[in-house]
Amino acid sequence: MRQLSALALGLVGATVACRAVKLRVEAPTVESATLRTQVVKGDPPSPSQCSLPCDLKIRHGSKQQVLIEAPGYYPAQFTFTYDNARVAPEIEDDDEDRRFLRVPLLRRSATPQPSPDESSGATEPPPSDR
Amino acid sequence: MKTLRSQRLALLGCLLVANTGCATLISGTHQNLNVDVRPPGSDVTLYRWNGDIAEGPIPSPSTTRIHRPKGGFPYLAVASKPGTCPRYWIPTVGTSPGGWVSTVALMATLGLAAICGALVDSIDGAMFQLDSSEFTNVMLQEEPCGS
Repeated sequence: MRQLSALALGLVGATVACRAVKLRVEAPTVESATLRTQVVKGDPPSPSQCSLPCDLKIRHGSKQQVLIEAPGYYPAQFTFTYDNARVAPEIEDDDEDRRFLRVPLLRRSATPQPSPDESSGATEPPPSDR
Repeated sequence: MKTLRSQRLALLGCLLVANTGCATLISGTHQNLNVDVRPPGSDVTLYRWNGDIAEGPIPSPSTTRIHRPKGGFPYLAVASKPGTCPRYWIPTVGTSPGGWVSTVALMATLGLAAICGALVDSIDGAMFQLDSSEFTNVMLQEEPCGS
């Protein structure tokens, strides 16, 4: 009986430790940004692409390349793992036990660089400070 | 009898004080970080995951003292220079030399004092260190930025 309890406790512990992490990704100060992921290892996150802010479900043991793009800003590309998601700060007073990551995007410099997704291209150049 | 009890309490108190913040005493709460990002004139900023700046902008090349990651929470590093594509990465967080001592002490003694020490070391970041090698030989790509 005691062994069964220990086994059940172990299974519950393993399930809790290996469950997917819900991660809210935001790009502060940016009006519209999109996120795309490419799997490097393990299961892909869901969704694999979305508009920010968005909630990603990061699977246990996974590793992905994240690309965040926004018009007028440099793209942010970095590798993100399940372990990174696990230690991300929690959203306070959240019933869904979500964590969050705010990615600062850098404005493109004053040099005009027409981008295909900037239709007008007539926006005044922002200062290069962050 | 009372004297014996008070002596034990005093001994316990001494142990508590001696073990608290072992890594903090050995490694300190800050570490040196060599930053070498090309082209020259680039800088590196370390962000907390809530978007706040933790350190920087750190000019490159330089050596600077930064706070060790509190609680082992990783930073988001961004190397940038106007006109080049910024590079983002999550620096690897390892255990500092003092952190290893604290961990061994915790495992060897399994005492309350060691737990208190490890807790202090973890909270103030002394247990951890950023992998300095990830901040050297970083090359920023010229525009246009590939996706």
